Amino acid sequence: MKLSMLAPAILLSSAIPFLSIAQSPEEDFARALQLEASGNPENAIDAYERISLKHHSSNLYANLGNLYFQKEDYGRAILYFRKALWLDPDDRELSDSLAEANLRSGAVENQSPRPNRFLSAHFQAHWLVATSLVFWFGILLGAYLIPQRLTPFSGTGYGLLWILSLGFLIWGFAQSQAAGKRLSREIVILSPKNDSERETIIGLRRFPGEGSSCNAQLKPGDSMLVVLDDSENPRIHQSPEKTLWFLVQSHSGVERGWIKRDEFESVMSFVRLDQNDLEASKSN
Amino acid sequence: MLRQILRAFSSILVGASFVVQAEEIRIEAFFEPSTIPLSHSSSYRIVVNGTQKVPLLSPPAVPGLEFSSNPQTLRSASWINGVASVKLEFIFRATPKRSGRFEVPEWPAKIDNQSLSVPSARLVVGEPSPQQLIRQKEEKDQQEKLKSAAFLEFSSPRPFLFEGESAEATVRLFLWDRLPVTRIDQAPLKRGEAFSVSELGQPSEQRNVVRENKSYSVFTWKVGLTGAIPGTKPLGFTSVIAVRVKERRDSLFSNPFFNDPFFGFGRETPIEVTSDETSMEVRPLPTEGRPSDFNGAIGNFEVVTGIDTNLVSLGDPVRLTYSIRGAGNFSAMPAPTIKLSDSFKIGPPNFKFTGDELTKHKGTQDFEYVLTPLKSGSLEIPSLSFSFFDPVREKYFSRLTNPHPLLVEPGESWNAPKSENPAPARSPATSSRRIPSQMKLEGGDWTETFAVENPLRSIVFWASHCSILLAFSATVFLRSRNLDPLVRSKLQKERILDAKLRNSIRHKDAYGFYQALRRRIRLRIGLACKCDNVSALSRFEAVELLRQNGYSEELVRKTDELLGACENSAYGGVDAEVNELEPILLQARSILKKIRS
Repeated sequence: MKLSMLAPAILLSSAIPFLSIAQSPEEDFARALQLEASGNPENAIDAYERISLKHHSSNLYANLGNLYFQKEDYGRAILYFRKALWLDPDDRELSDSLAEANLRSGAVENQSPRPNRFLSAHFQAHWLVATSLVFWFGILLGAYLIPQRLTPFSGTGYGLLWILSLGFLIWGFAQSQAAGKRLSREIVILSPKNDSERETIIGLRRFPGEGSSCNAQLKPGDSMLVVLDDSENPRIHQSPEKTLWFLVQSHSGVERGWIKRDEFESVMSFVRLDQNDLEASKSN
Repeated sequence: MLRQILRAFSSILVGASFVVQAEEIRIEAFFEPSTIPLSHSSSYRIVVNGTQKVPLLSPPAVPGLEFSSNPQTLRSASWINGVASVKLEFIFRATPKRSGRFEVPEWPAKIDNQSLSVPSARLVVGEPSPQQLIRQKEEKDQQEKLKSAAFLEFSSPRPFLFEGESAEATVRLFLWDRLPVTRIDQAPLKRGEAFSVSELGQPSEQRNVVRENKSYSVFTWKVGLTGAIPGTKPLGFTSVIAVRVKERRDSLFSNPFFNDPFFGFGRETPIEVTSDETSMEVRPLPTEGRPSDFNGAIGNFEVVTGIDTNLVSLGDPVRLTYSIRGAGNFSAMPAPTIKLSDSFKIGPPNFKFTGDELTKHKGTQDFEYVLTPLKSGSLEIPSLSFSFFDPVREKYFSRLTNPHPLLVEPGESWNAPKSENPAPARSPATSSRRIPSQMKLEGGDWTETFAVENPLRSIVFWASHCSILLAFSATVFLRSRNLDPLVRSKLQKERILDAKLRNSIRHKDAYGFYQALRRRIRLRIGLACKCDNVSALSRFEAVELLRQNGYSEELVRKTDELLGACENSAYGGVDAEVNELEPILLQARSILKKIRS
């Protein structure tokens, strides 16, 4: 009896050290806010970026975007506004900020095409749930109604309606999933962090090497797509100087070339890309 | 060899020219042919012998006879009886306008510094032959027919225009439906120099427009018509259409009204379609009451101004939008001149027209100016005046816009950029910048993952589907397992009998129908009342079974009647109406449904 009462208490006490270690992101956020309000933008950026390694929120990325915007680093401002908009797509202020940053960076033309809101990656789950519901509801209703001869129209009509509805929903899901895949591959071109001019032009090299000639020139803030191989991994090349090169292409697919890892950042946390980075860094 | 021949020939020519120098100049003039019917033309030839110098000849005017202005000139040299002779021949084309005798009198001509006279010449023009008269009549008829088959109409909303005034006119091309028009080769072109028209867009097409008992297809173009030169001036339009006609050019039936449009044979020929030439007055603008700031705007307009912000920092630009809305000569309207105090620097305006881009008659013309305040403090963009001439009321009007207060915050003072050092493309970091969004003071909703998740990889999704599938399969399996084999066979029999009932109705087999219905009812009663030996049940036993199982008396009575009807028809020899089978089946179904419940 005593043992049975003690067991939960032991379990609870063993969890206390772990609970105390887990730090709330709100505290770090408040500290970063203090740094920003006290006119220390560089430290505020560092603090925000440290939080973003583990925790994500729309407001966090919005503040980061604002700080980079004020520094006239429009490439990073665009990147963080994009991240913020992914978490809060209905925020008009963020949309306006992104448009302004795009305008100032001059990267308006090289932006990703915006799909219809209902066909965007945000609606993948909605389409899938609707498809599942129609699928099962159609089967169950048909299984009940058709033997009873209670359908207002024939079994063929019922089946046709069911197949058409399913087809439409599967199409919507495929569209939103394609948008999601494209977003997973999307990267934003950045200028080097220590570049004071912010007028950097990034070359899209023909071959993975510093000395290679360029196919095209990119501006910070331009949006590109990482090229994947057959196993859906990014096409990467490691040079003898241990520099990682990624094969990227424009959204239209016309421009294609190699850029270094420190010249871009992915809009979403592309899991496979990060894993490859990790493996490459381990091999270093 | 060739060189020798050429040399000899040139020496002959040079020698001949010396001989000709001495020859006397002689002039002949005659018509060839000298007698022609009306509608033909003749050649008026002037032959000048004895000179090589080409004189300027112009025959005198003869009433009823028309000469071409540029004569054809022939030069020839010949040896006549061992004497070299040179002559020039001038051929004028003479076209008579009437029949009769014509005489070109002797007229003076100056040739090679000599005053000579060209002798008189006579031409007789006879009456046209009957064939020619017929052909002329046919041509006239054809022209008349063409005029009624394809014509242009021009209409203007204004009976006259003022100089510089624009009106939205319409040009309509009527094409008779029976005319084999293949395409419109040329959109209507204006005739008349006193007017200018806007570019023609795509026409709107209207079919089956009946006019004088003929059905037409009508193509309508909207056109902005502007009066350019004062005075009463002619105005008309010309278009060209392509029509398919027969191959034989000489045939009387080569006109489009006797065509062979079938199968696409024949050839295409262009036909010019013209509108009636009308005169339109262009009046000069009145000078009386003309405002000093009038700059050519004619029409009826409303003017509105607006600025994009009321609060700026010193040096930041302000957009002033000057919108002119209404109907008038937008295409000829220059940008209004804005006179502001020295507190502002004004840039050149941007233009934007909203409305019909082709005619530019009705719509809104926006002029966007960029103003840069040069002083801080409370400034004002004053009222701006816009003057125009209203052609309907024939008076000048002026409109005043509202003033706009502007608060300019102090900042860095404005330094005008030096011409040799253009301003940098991007403002320095210290200049005023608009922060795009407010600083967020709360963290908001936190999330641990930041990736586009594929819902197909979600365990919850597949688990829920698998559970539904399992539940569904289990239900079907258990249901099929729980059924007594006897009940299952009875249900199967019911389905077979249902099919038989439907087939009996389709084949109008009343006997088979009633037999199947009787078995179907008994089967249902057996199932509902748990009686195994249903085939051995008599009508009365079946009814009694229902009564014992607590079914309503009405249902029992109806079942009894139905079974009775079945027995009478199947075994009693009572002829059943084939048409009544369908309602009986419906009635039986409702009874069977009640027995089931």
